[in-house]
Amino acid sequence: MIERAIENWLTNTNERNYQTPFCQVLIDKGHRIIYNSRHGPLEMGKDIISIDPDGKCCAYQLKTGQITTDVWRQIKGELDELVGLPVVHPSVSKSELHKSYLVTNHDINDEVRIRIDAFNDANRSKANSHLDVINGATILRGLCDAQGKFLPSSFNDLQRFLRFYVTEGNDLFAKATFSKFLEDYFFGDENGSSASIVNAISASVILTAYATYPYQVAENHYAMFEAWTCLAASIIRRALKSKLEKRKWKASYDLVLEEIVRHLSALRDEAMVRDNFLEGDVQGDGAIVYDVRKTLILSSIAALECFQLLKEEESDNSEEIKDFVKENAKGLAFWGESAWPHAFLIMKYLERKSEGVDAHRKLNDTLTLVLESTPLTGEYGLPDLYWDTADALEGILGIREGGMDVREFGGSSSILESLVHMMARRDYRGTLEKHWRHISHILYREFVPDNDEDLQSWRTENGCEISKFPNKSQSWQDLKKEACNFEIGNQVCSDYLDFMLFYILVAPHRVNSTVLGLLDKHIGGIRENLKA
Amino acid sequence: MLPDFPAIKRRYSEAFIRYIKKKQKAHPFLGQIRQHVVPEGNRMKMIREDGEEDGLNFERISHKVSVTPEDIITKGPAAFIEPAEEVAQALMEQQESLFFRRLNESVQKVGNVVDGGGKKFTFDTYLELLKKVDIDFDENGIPRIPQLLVGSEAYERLSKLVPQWMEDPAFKELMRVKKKEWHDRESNRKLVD
Repeated sequence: MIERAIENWLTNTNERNYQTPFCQVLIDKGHRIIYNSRHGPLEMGKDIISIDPDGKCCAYQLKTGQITTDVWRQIKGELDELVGLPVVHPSVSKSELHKSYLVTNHDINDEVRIRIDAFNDANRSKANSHLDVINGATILRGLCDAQGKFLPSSFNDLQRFLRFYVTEGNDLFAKATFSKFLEDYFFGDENGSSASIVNAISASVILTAYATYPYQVAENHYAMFEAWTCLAASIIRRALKSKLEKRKWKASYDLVLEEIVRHLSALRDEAMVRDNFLEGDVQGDGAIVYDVRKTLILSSIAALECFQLLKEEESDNSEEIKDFVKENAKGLAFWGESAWPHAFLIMKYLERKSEGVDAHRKLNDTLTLVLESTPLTGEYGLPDLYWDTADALEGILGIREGGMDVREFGGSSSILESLVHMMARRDYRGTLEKHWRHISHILYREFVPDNDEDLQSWRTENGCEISKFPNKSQSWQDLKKEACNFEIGNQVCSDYLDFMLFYILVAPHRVNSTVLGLLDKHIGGIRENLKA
Repeated sequence: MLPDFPAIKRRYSEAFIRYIKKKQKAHPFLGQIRQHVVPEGNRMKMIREDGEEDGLNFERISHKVSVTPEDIITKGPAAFIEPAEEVAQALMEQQESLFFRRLNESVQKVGNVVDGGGKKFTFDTYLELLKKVDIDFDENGIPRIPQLLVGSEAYERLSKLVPQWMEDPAFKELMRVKKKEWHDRESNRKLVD
């Protein structure tokens, strides 16, 4: 039955969505992926380039649907480039002829097979590469084989998988459920050998590709971003927990990271051409729902752009993007503490793009809002970090079953310390001085997992909830020193800082002063001479 | 298996839990203590201003109830209303007991204890207690007097006496001193150097 589900996905999806699992199958067969296109203008007829186990260079052109004679005529030019143009890559010798493959998730007509035969005959005389074909049946076999024992087969496994496969694709992604599923199904074997963990990682990449089918159909790029980010976190955690050599899992991890970037890029591109941000059934939309959506979109764009900046790259239309974010960053929502990572990234992006005034205002506004929402009487507070976007929104709108008791959140904060540290790093003494009496009354909270890698787990049993009040009388110099101390921290956070940009949006409960401090430092743009 | 209605039953389970939580919130004492949910981890730690750490492992509180098949058949979901009351009471008793045990450990550690020597609670004892604690004041200068937790017998007597004690000049003088202490404390909440 599972093969039917995978086949159903494969035949209905497009090349963008089957590209990653196809790459994973190649990796499983011992290939090294050296190029994986984002379908930009510089492809030279090649979507994927790999080095096979024999050291031969292979180039692939991916297509969607049945290859008929009409389609053949349309793509002939690209195929000429595929076989005729040499692979230009430092890992590939220009004198060596590469292997070429036309890949489709359906099949090739008999007439087209004849044309390919003639095509190859003609190219042989030109010393061009030979064109081979990979059809949907071959891809399907590869996907099933690559999953091995991780192909859902028992009734329970099928049931859990199908819950994702048949869900509504227009909702937010079920992060907690999916993370638990990944943990139970792929990464729960504490005593697994390194080979079995590598297999598990590989299989999880393939399963995620087709389990998220409803979201692909709905082109719900935000949900897809969340799904791939959950997987990346699970992979990092499992690999570090078992001390797996990075070279054994890096290729799979890189595929997942590329999916994250691809979906955020698609979300950004879609948002930037919209007249407004209304979506779906308009009844129930608008006001805070609209503002929350806007905040999620802008923070995703900010995360993506900061990711590029950390690699010292920039999007081609970076100025246009900056103007878009700046223009729309007025009237953002702050639904609870889980909104803070979103606000942080928007602020950091603006700051890094030399829009310090806007960034400074946002930081100030956030501090003011947090303090106003956490009065000295302790009667109420902001929904804490574990109240994700939809939960908090339901509570605020008064439609949550069981309600939301805001008293539960009074008197303490899991984000105030990171806000204070950000202000200290920017020398905003005046602002902090004005509010210090209030700040010193609020209990700082932070959850610290016992094991560094559990920073990447959705929930862990092993860890400590730490509470402390800020010092009543606080040395400014000590505060600045503390805010700039990046030595103490989670090694996983330091080693995967670029990924943390995405992870803090998907798992806001993993945000703390150290994580944001490291991101604050490495994204850069802090103007220390900007006085409050 | 026989045909079942798990979605409906799930709603009853959730209502059962909400009922217990509602009872806790209505408790005259426990209802006043702010509760904070800790969704993960296995312990807590409080770091005091002097750097000292107070660690706490989580403790489980639970209560078992039995309901007969006959009761369930005849009464339906109502068969669980009585046990719900029993569960709520039992959990609250355990919570209270846990609270006082932990409180006792903390105050013994700090030395914030006044030994009444087994005698009746008097005005002097009351003043001595208040001297040992910090008292905050609201923006209108009204003191936030700590609550006294007493047994039901003492409650009858003290509920009449304490308001009278609060009119006593010695009490008012103590509040004047406490207000100054509070003011000094609050003035000290600042960034320095």
